[in-house]
Amino acid sequence: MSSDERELHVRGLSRFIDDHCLPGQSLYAAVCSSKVPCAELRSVDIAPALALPGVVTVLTAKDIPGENQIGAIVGDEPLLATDHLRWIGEPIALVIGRSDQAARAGAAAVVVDAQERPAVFDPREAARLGQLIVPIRRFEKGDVDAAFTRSATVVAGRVESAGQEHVYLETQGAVAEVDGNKVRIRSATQSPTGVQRAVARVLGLPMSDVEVDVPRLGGAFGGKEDQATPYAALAALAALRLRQPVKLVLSRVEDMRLSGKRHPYSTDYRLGLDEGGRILAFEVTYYQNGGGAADLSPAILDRSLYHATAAYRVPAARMTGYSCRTNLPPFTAFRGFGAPQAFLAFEAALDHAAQATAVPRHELQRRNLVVEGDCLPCGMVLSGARATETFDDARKRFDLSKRLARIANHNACRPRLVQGLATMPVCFGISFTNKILNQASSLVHVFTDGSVSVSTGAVEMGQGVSRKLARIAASVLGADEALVRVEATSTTRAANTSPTAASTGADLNGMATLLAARSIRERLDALSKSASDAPLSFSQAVTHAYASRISLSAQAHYATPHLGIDPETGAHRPFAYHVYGTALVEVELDTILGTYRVTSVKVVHDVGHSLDPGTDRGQVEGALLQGIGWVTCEDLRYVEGRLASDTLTTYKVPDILGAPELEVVLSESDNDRAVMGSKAVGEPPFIYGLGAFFALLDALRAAGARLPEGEYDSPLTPERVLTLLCCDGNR
Amino acid sequence: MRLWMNEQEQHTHEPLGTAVLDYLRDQLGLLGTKSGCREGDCGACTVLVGARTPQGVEYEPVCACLTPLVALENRHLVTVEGLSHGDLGPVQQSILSEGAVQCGFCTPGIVLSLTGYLLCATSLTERQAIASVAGNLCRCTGYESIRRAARALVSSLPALEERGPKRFAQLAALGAWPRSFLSIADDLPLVANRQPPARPPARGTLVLGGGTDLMVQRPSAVRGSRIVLASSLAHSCVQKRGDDLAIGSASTVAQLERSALLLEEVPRLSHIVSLIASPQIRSRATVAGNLVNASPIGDLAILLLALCSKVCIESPKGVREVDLERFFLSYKKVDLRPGELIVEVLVPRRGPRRLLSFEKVCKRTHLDIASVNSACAVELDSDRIVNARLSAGGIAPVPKLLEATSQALVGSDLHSIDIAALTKTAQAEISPIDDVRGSAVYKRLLLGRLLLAHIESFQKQQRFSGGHS
Ligand SMILES: Cc1cc2nc3c(=O)[nH]c(=O)nc-3n(C[C@H](O)[C@H](O)[C@H](O)COP(=O)(O)OP(=O)(O)OC[C@H]3O[C@@H](n4cnc5c(N)ncnc54)[C@H](O)[C@@H]3O)c2cc1C
Ligand code: FES
Ligand code: FES
Repeated sequence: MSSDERELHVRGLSRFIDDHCLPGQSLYAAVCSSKVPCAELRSVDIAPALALPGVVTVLTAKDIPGENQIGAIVGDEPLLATDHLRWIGEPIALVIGRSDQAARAGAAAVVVDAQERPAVFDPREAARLGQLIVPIRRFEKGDVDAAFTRSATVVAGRVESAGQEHVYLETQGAVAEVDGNKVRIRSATQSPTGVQRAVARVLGLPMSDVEVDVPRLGGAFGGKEDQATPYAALAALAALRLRQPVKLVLSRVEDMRLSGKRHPYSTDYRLGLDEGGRILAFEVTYYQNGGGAADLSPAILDRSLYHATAAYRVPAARMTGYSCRTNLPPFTAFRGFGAPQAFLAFEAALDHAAQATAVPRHELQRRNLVVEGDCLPCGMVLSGARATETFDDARKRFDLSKRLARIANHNACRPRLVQGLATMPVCFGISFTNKILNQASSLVHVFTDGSVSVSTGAVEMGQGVSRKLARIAASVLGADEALVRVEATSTTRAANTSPTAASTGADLNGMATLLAARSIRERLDALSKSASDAPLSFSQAVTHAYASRISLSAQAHYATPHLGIDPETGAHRPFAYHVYGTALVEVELDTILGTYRVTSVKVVHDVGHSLDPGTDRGQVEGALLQGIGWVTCEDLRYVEGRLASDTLTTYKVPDILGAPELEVVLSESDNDRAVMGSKAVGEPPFIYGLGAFFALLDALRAAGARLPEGEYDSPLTPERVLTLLCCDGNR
Repeated sequence: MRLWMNEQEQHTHEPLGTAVLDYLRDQLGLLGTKSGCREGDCGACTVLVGARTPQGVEYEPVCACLTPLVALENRHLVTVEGLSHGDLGPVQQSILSEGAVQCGFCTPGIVLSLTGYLLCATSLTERQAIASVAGNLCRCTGYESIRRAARALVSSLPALEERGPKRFAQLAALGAWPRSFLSIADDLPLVANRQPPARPPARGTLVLGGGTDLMVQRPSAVRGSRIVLASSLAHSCVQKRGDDLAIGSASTVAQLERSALLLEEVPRLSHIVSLIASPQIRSRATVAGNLVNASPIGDLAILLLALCSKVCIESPKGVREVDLERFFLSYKKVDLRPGELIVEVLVPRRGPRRLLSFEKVCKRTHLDIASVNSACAVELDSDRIVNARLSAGGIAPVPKLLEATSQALVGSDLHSIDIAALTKTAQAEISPIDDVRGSAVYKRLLLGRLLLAHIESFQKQQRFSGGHS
């Protein structure tokens, strides 16, 4: 039997949540949710649902035995609504039926009486009304006003970046059962402990009475960090009430309507440069559309502020963030966690400056990249900076000047298909911005036959963390990697885990695994030394250790060192280290129809010493295509707070025929800040995709479009592109 | 009802409108086929369906979520479980070795699509192998590794034998096709591609073409109804009939693509077809279904309008013919009474005399529904347009023939068309609305650009064919 996840996948043997508890083995739950964006909830009549065949029961807020609250950062999210409705899709009641059709029919039959109130969807409007989720976030470095006064060029404008739906192929879901006096939940969550804590709170149980088991996820990308919790809690509520297994799996449409997405931002920027095109000052204000409850919005806004200056050295900067409460479903984590919005805004400002100064964008970028020893606005001093190195490597390796000349040549004869190119550098901080979360534990057992079991809080969702953990354990122990099994994540085997998020899964859990494996290895080494002169093989050593009654198990804990405020210097250090890289993105634009293709993306990406190059390459490729999707075809449309693009028919993610050719060069370097010299890889490459936005602007300009100055709207759908092409009556 | 389920013959009494996906997962407990959307858009549920036709046994990929059980009668259903006994085959191997699997949710569907490709490919090329997974969404990989896997697969295999038994045996020897399936192919009974006389459907039955529309719009109606397959009432061939081509109403889009006769009328047939849905949907979606669902942006409807088609409708009272532009009455309403059946669509044969241009603009080029689509057919006398038919979708409640604009084209010189005037005429004929596929303003703008694209295409075609036709 292979312990490789991937072999299970190609054989169709891997089981996801929906593959558990088939008809007849469980009851089904469906959510009745708000149809209005803002209202006072007057009454909920469940009788019509109960009257339907196959409906077992209907639960509302008053059936919750514990606290009706699942908000993790801010306690502002009841599991089931009580007196207010704050977004379309807010859960009101849970209908349990003998089949999923019965449950869904029941959910549709519940009668909700609500008095509508005026709703707010625009974050600036919400900020104006004082509807903030947390107080304004602001920090500043240097004398910003003086630096602007000194600037030879100052540009200012606005960036609108839309949300993004995760489209993990496995929708949200959970199955819950009560086993004796324990509630067991199988949940598709990145945050097993988060689910455990919320379930315990809602059911009024100690956390030890709740076990959360996460076998694997069919994709997550941040969408199951906080947003898996309500469905797990609802299934658990029903299972405890009925003492039968209950399954709650959202259909695609339900998932798209109910679940949170990447935050839309509306951003004001101002950028000042000297005559030499060197950045002197930057000022930015983010209006983050948080939706109707906090979810992870404050943490996401923090990361935007930390990445406000993107990959650039900015001597004076002022950053302000508003986390705005609106009447849309709560927005949530999505790969990049607030950084993409910040990168887009800064690169837009830089694009604006390039137009104003007539210096090519890539030149301005290169001149201003961060370098070793730079102090970021947050106070962190960079060490091991590779921004210029990867930029120059990409420029040379992919022959930027030749490409630019070829494109200029091609475009010179005004062809129907014009081309555009953009360079996109990345500098991405690794660590949870919430310091507490930067810890992990690992439990390693070695069995007497030399096989190994590793349990951590890292959830496998396709990012390959299990392979990395297996590799670490095998190499430290000296065991055969094929005999290392990385277990499904369970709150009983790994307690108080941090979500598998912020790209830190392998860093944190890998380091804990390394420590646990090392302590077993040390016991074996000590034994070998005393036992014989000839070195023992791993399995001999294991047999010997067992016979000598020496423990073959170890548990270890790791906490990222040196984070936070340095007590001596007062410098702030939110991140363990940064990840760097540069992409070249090319597009081709049809100047008649406004349609386009991203034709190629070439990347030099900084991986440290990769634990698994194949996995890291896959992460870069996958992330960057999501980035391209975000700024091109992925178009969330709301009508009065109702999501209109609520199916895969109307919300388009990139497909294989539209996906560009990708060339990813993994650039190795030393890194003493993560396990075995590796670097985190999950999120940073998302940023490369943003290059498509600027490559399209480049092509539009080549086509003669006169773009409105200081206005940047993402995504550049074919509709927006054609509108921009035609606003001057081109062609 | 009888079918062959992987290596076994099986009988079932499930309602005939049950989605194959539910049959597999809920009835048989075969969980390798995944449900990602139930709308045909993700391909996670891809399975293969084999049928014996007079030309031999043919396998096609379909979406299990939109295929009713009845479509499997006397057919061979292949799922990932059937392909996963023993050692991994070359498809699975190449996916593994190229790292084309991350979360794994899309993977079984991709295994099935690529296997289907090996079974029915005309030749092994990287491009075709990649096109075969065009209906499989993957959110994790960025597709580059899937492309690598397709490339590795193609280069690892020897040249393919001709399609049919030899190919099956070859693939079995290569480990890409279970040996146990070879005898099933022999056992499958012939499924008739019935020729007329067509019969109108019995009262109280629901006619189903491919189900790719009905099973999305009204899945429970399909499950609860007495279903009759259009293919059991009408034929699915493309034939010459006098000056016309007669397209059987039950022809699938995939069948259209293979028709040499239709290719004579529509030279860029395979390009146009590639813009419609995905391989999985194309092997189910029928011509009549595309017309009867009357989506204002139906691609076949738009194409057939420009080709001056007529619909032949059979009822207990006899046969009637309706010009396609008269068939569409109002939003989702067509000139079809209960008990009537579309039998054929007639397309006048014009061959190379007619120049044709088809354009479709959507957010995503493939597997997307148009914001606006348009077709234009013209006949030229030297440079002068003597005949023109312009159709467009997404700009009115129905797929629309733009009669005034078509008229305005007639008499113009292809090289000196007054686009501004033409666009103005077109604008007066259309009434687009704001929706999720674009604003009304955009659709108006787009239609003007599509006119430009048509003209440019004609000029190019004329140059290409050496001037005059
Ligand atoms: C993922 C996806 C992508 C799609 N992409 C496209 C696209 O790109 N372009 C496009 O145009 N469409 C697209 N469609 C829509 C749909 O597939 C097509 O319109 C298809 O042609 C419908 O045919 P069908 O046979 O499957 O219809 P069905 O669902 O079987 O039937 C539709 C209607 O036609 C009736 N009907 C069927 N046959 C007959 C007959 N012979 N006589 C009388 N009535 C009949 C049925 O009773 C029903 O009312 C897509 C659909 C999906 C699910
Ligand atoms: S489930 Fe998505 S295509 Fe069938
Ligand atoms: S591997 Fe996750 S969707 Fe393809």
